[in-house]
Amino acid sequence: MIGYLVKRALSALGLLFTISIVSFMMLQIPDGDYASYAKALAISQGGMSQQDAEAYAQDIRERYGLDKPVLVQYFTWAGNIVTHGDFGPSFSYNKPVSALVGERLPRTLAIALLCHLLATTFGVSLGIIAATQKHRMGDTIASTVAFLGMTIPRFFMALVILYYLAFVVRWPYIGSLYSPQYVFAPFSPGKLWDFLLHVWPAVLIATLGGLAYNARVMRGNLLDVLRQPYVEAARAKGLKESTVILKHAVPNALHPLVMHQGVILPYMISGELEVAIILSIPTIGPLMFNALTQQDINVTSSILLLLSAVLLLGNFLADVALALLDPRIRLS
Amino acid sequence: MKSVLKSACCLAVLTLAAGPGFADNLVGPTTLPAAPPLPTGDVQKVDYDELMSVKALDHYSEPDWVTKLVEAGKLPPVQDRLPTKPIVMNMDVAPDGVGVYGGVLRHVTGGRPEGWNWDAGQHQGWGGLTMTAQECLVSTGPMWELSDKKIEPLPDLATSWEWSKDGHQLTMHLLEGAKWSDGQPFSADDVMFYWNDNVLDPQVPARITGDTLGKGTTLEKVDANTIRFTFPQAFAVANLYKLAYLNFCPGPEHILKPLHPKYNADATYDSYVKALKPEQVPWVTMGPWVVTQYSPDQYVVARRNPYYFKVDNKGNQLPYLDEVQWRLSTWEDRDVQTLAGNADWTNMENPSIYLQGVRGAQDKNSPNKLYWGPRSLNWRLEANMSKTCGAQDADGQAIRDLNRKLDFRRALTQALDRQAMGQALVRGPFTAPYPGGINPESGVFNTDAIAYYPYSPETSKTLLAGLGFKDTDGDGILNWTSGPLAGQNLDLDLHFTSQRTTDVALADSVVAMLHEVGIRAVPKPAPTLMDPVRDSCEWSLMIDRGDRSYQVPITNLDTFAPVTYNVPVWHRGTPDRPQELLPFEKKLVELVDAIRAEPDSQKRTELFSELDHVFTENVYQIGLIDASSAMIVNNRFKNVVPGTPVLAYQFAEKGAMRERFWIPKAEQSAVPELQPGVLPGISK
Amino acid sequence: MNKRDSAHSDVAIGGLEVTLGDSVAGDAPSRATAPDPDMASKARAPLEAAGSKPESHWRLVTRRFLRSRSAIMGALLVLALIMSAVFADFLSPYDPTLRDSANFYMPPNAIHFVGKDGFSPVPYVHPLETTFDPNTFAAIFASDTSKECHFQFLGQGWRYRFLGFEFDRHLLTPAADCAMNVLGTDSLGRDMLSRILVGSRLTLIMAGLVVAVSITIGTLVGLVSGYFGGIVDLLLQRVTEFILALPELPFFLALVAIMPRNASPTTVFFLLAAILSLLKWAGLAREVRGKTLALSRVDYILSAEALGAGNARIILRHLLPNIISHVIVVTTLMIPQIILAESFLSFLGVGVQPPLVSWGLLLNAAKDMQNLGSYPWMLMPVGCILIAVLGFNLFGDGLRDAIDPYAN
Repeated sequence: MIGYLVKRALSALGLLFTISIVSFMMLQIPDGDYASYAKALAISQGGMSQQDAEAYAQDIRERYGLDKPVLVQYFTWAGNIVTHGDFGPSFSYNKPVSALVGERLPRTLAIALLCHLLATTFGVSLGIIAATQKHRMGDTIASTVAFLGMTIPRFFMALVILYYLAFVVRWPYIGSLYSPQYVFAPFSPGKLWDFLLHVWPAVLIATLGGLAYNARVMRGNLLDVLRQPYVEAARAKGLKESTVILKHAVPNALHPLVMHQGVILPYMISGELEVAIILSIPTIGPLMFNALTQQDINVTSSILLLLSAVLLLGNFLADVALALLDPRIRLS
Repeated sequence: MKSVLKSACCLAVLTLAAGPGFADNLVGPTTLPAAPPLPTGDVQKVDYDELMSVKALDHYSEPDWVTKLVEAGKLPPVQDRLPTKPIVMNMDVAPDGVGVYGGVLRHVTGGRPEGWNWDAGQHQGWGGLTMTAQECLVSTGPMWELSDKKIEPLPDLATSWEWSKDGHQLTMHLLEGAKWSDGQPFSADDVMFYWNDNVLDPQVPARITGDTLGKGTTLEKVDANTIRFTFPQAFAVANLYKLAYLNFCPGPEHILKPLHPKYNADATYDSYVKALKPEQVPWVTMGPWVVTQYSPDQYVVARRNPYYFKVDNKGNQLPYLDEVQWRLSTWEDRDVQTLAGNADWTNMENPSIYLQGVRGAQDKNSPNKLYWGPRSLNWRLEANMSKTCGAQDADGQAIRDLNRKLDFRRALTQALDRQAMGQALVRGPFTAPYPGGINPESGVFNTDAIAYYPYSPETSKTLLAGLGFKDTDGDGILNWTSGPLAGQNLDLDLHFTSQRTTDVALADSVVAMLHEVGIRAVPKPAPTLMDPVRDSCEWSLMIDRGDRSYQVPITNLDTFAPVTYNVPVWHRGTPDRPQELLPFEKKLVELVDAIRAEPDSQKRTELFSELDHVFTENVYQIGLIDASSAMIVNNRFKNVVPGTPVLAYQFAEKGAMRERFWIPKAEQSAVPELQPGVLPGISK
Repeated sequence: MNKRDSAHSDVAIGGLEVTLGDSVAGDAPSRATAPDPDMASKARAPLEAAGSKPESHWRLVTRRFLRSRSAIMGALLVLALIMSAVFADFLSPYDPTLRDSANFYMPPNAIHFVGKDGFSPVPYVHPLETTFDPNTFAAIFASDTSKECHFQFLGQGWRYRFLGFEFDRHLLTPAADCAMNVLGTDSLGRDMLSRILVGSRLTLIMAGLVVAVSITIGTLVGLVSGYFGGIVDLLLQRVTEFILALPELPFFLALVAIMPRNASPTTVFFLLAAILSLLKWAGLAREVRGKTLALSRVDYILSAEALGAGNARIILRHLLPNIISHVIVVTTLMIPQIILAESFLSFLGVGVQPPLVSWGLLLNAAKDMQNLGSYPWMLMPVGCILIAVLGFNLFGDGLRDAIDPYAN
């Protein structure tokens, strides 16, 4: 067992290395670098001449080593991570990437987890309703909700909600995380409520997307389980139908969803990303998107590395869980 | 050629497609059609000396709560905090006159402060924040409001200046007895430290270099409040404009010097640049508000600077507003938050949101007012004319050669229906056709000087046929008939940024319109701004937005002629291989050089007309549309001048003179202060 | 017994992978993880049926499919979509790239059948007149009910090429002197109906292309990997894992830069399809591998091997037919994913490029706040995406319910 785990862990590490190098290279493909972004701003915002701005950009390049070959840049970056756990500085924020991500990650996780929790609860409930009411009203409604959540492009939903809140009702809680009076205030129930007032559109949209998946899987599984002999047996014993479903069928139908938890995080984050970019909620999504457009290479490559690591970790845990369940896997 | 064009223009007859060689069938050039009137309202121009002056007043006052702090011994009295001669803003020429103290202004910015060592090139987060932190030798922002009598940079840290007889020396007198926001004196040493240890130190990434004001420029300290520039060129008037925002804004020497590696053995250049992190509050500045609180990615709060060097004509120390906040968000969010009433200011520069803004402002409950400025934003199409920078293969060179032909640039420009293009962006009077070159709604523009090539796809087709293009394969796209690309379609890569919806929409129009005359523009959206693409030199056509030099050419003459190897941006050389100039470009260089050395503003304007004539007649750049833009400011604010341009000499945050803004007492409570009673560095 | 259990666990790995990447298609294989002592025996029957008598199996499938009303509706929607895409030019009243600088941002113009001359099977519209609100500059549209502009049935209109021939006949041809934009026009005065119709073509071709390529690669890799095992499996699995862990967004943004400078919009389109395919096959490969692993331990395959059947024969004759049903289901369910992916890419500005038209490209209009506020008809393509996704999902669900050997 240990041997198998070590093997899997090593292969995951190798994969991580490959992914980091490929994504780092990929990020370097577009023309220019962070210095050219700084230059663009110096010209447009500060009205500087081409000469001055170019000299200024060259200074930045030298200071951050952006004039070095890509491979050298990669190994400097990766080397610092391995040796000091240092992800390098963000050029545009002028602070360590670790601090930057450290600020945003907890919020991102909080929102993602909230979405996940809601998506699972509502999704599973909808799935149960749909399965137990197969081809009846409940099924239709549940399927429709699930379908819409899955079909309407998330960015479109976000835009429509944003339009409505900003221009139609002039909602005071759009964008950001807190109203100004709570930004510098210590934690309080009022602050939490203010936070929820700000993030609900993102939560709603990401939840709708995740909910659809859960509902579909739950419906399918539960329908299968309900056909099993032991469920029939429970019914034959004269148990109430609700007891049969909730006590016997649902727990078994939940299995695949439970296994799914290991890999849910990157999925929820990518959903949050799309929505948060449009709604300007300061989480990992907009940070990564802006860093991409500003070619703030350390930020983007670090976030990508982090996302890939989380994803691989999820895969790894799923494999471990399966290995624990089935001894044959680790033997073969 | 010129006479042929002129006669064609006079005929002004729309002729049907004719074979190549029938030059008489070409339409244009004509004069620029008049643009529809804008809902700007009357813009009251103000004489130079009326707007502000530098003098001592008998009596100064300050907000009551500040007086209480003075009485508690926490702060020197107001007259000791002000310079001996403060800058006096004349409120008689402001729309709402002398104001009352108090209230909050809420900004949104898409930038993030890097730190506050602006001597070493750091910015403070844009969106009005950098402008609040940095005060410069002279101020150009409010110049848009000056009447024609005298248009010259306004006093700021330097209160007066004079040229030597030979025009090589510029002596500037600085504010006397002025203080930084921490109470330390401001003097010529601050300026000298910026120049000697930042600008001239090659290891400090300062915004400018020693060559910015001309190679060999020197600066010396005459006395504690006087400095003297010596320029290699006589009467380098354009240099005065370079002593303004973002180029010549000295930081606090008393804080920075001990951090500089030259004076501190423990410091490195890297540590010096990054020494003043945004978290390190209060920032030390000469500006009207001082950042006192910072939450990364969320908020910046700035409180009034008790040492600010401006007063109103009644002796009230400015600013009127006690607090300014910045929400750290995105640029799109700035429009959204302001229109929703959650922020107080946006520069509406994206035409696709105009209708929404106008409709919102018409609403009785609207939180905002719209202040339309002139059509000072322009979008242009550039054709890469460089032979030496990028595209060194035969195919690439063939395209560059094509771009260098006037007939081709003319074919491009006459294929574009600018009227439809502008209306596609936003219906209504907001846009107007832009002929390229100097902005039509700017001070130095002369309609009679320019050559405008009107929309005429037939002319384009004729010109293209004359250049030897023919649709040989019947796919609707012209084919090259000679050269390395013979037989291939006339495909040109068209670059634009996908960050701005306007640029994307314009690209869509350009692609559709060029397609109609048989040119296939291949769209190449870039997720970044255009500079990286431009620096790569690997592009054929590019759509970009003009910056302030088209509105106020004197601020950046490099835009108009190939005076150095990397300008203009559509015709670059490399440091080793300069551009291969076309005859008319040589003429442009001569004109720009003449303008640089012309001290008389009337003659300068004439030279600008001539420059614009050569520029537009040769379609040096293919103008697309000019759009007006609006400042949207919350209803609470007084002294907002109608007609303030979003972008002229500077962006509107510098141009609108926020230190004059005020809010009536009754409306101040609508937005609560986050730090009531706080002054930077002074505990309650 | 032991063997079969392990086989099902492998299937579950496949199920997990799908769940990760995208939301649909995951539940069929994962159902197998439900503890079910009888599962193996249940599974064997249809497997054998499929292996020996495919015709009867497919007839069974057809019968089951036709029993579901929603499945039939899905099939009809899909059919309608494909037909309208194929005959898009014929159905489009206007040239979708034709600008009309006099009639831009026009709202949908309602069609009428009963007019002055009584009922007519060929509809007409009232021309729209535009005025401006002097304060808000908003356009105000009013129909001029005194005039009727009649479509012409099978009249001559814009010229188009179809199957190498040139045509100019259209189902409904608009009058030359009248703007007859049933779904309104866009910012350059191009007819939305025509653009949506023609746009459906690229959207569906993109979806079809990507699905075809990724399904082929995914099935092949999965089969080979699962059947041969050993070093081949190890290598292919690493590649699959790598693809699955690749971050999509920066990949797409970098993509624009990789494109050759003068790549025509058509080339860009195909490169886009290639890249989407590259990213999409991995999920299926994992599932197919899982299934193959499970199947290759089933008795009759083992006995086929024992009888000395060649690898190719075993794969083609025994494994493929058993996997094909799953593949078909994944295909129909993957199409909507690609449609959505294409729309998001176009939203980011890196998708299909003009003058080509696709639904995603049309939906780019949603980025413009004025379209949401003043010209909502520009957002019509969302409705089309909704219908298409609905159609393919219903069809796919129905197909799965009909094919799935575990059902019933």
